[in-house]
Amino acid sequence: MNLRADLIFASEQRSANVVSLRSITRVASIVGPVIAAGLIAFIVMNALTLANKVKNIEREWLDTEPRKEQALKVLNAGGINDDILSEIETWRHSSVDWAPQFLSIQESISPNIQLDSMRISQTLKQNDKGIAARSFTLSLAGKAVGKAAETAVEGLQKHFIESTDFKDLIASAEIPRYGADPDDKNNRIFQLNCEYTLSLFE
Amino acid sequence: MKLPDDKQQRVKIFVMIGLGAALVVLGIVQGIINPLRTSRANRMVRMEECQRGVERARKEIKKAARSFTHRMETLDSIKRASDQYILHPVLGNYLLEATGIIEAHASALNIAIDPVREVAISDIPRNANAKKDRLLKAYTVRVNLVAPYHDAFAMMREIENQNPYVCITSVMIRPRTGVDIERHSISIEVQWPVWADPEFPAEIEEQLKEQISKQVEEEEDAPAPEAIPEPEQGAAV
Repeated sequence: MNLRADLIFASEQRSANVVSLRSITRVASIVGPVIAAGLIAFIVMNALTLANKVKNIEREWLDTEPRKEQALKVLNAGGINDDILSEIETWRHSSVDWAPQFLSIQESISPNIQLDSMRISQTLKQNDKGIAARSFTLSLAGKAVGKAAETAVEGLQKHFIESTDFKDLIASAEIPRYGADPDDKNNRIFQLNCEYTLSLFE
Repeated sequence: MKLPDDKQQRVKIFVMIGLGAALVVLGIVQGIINPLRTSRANRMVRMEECQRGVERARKEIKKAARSFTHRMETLDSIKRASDQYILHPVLGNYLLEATGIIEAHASALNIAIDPVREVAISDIPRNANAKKDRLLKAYTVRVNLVAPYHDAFAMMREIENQNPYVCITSVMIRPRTGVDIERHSISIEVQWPVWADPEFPAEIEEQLKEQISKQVEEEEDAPAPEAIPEPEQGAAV
């Protein structure tokens, strides 16, 4: 037969475990606020550090900004000067060197051709992209003598179209007038017109 | 503090404590942590904005510093072209300088010429996509002479060689039939660039002086070479 004797009230009974609800409560009541306080302190410190960083970088920006504005002004002025130099250079690019061409005509012209007149004229135009350009025309009028007159005139036309001195410069070379010389039926008078490729201001 | 003996009472107290703690935590989160987090987010945004601003600014400053040599070269080239190849007004007109140039060439080649005449100051049309007017205009003069073909050729060669920006825009060679078969009537038109604003060369001169003085100031202000930490310290701004 088993005998059980309760000498204390149920409310007076205590657990034999080391971890009791009471101890947890006690620890939690201390550790909880400490952790919370630590966390808050950490966040506040972080916020202060960040605020400080922001202030520093703002100051740096304030210091750098006027120098940037100055730099932009300088760069802008530099860009304008680049454009000015480009415009000056357009004059070099649009200019045609006549001296080598005159020399070439002088050297290549057939002995049975006698030039009476030479005319170079320029008009200002725009190409299909709207770029301003010089458009040159060279017009030669003269006399070709002898039986080989036609060959000589054609040779001169060919010279303008094919020779290295002219082929990059000339767009077309045409003979609008070719006929008998009223003064001497054996000779031929001719006119040769050369249209130059546009010399662009670019 | 002693907890009540009654289990129900104790549970009630724990629930009250739990509720209280939850309220305190909520208060801390809402009153302290959340505002701090919002403020932190705002500051982070601001910091990034400032950092971007500083980086951009440094980039532009470095770019300006790096472009110093190029800018000086450009100004120098403009000045050189302006001084040597662009015609400048003498007492308000360009004819004196143009005449001087043409006569110098003619005289050097021993070619007799008629007095040089002004043709026009004309505008070069703007390119279709150009937003501004051109800074250069065209100044044209005509020179008439009676000379052999090769003399005219030599004079044109001299004019072109001396100034690559000049353009011979018109040449007319006509025979003098019955008078002289060797020497022709020759008319040549020569065109120079001129500044649309005659004050412009002075502005370029001013800019050059300004750049040089800035460079000198920066060289004086700059620390000793071994102590220069970053290239932008020498920024030419």
